Amino acid sequence: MAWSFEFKAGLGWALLISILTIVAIWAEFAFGSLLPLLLPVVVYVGFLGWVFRVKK
Amino acid sequence: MAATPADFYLIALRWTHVLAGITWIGLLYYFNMVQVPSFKEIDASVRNVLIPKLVRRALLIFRGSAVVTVLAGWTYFFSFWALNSFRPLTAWSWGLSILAGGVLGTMMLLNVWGVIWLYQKKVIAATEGVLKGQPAPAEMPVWGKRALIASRFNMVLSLPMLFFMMAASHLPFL
Repeated sequence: MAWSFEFKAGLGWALLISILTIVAIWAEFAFGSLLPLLLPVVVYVGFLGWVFRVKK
Repeated sequence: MAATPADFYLIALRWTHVLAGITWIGLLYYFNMVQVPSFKEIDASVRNVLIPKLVRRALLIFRGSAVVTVLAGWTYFFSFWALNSFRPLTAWSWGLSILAGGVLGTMMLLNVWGVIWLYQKKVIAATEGVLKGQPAPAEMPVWGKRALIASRFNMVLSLPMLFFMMAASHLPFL
């Protein structure tokens, strides 16, 4: 797999979304609302916007 | 205590979800850990034969099992939640954990269909064209790169996704 661009990009985005999911679970419990779960979802939409622009 | 019809319904959904999930994630790991590194070492002429045969078939099972996994999963979630009288999810560790896992799994499904398959079907069609003597499209390396990023993303995201799925039943935190 090595530390290729594809692996680093996939790892970076997935790690960011994982951390935000943990933050969202804490916030959901703390504030009594499911809205914080939109945080990783919004970042995922950002990932989609980015990946379709990746060039050579 | 005797099992109720609801118990049989839930176990059928769970069995379907886990079986399809094993197939999906197993193929995801196969692509990332076996196929991609092997294809880099295989001669292009052999790879061009394998892509329309082996890769096409693997991707069919891959994307099909992804849909079954996620549909069975969400059906299970809403059924189990309903059977628990729509208990507030924010005060229930099962609810918070399974919802987080479900959202991550749904992102992975969107990657399978919206990025990986979107570009891999172009790669397969272009490879078939090459076998017929047509030139490879200039965009082909970019298609492969985008699909591979989404595949790497899914491989990494499968770890927290599985953690949250399992934590729902095995790590009560509320």
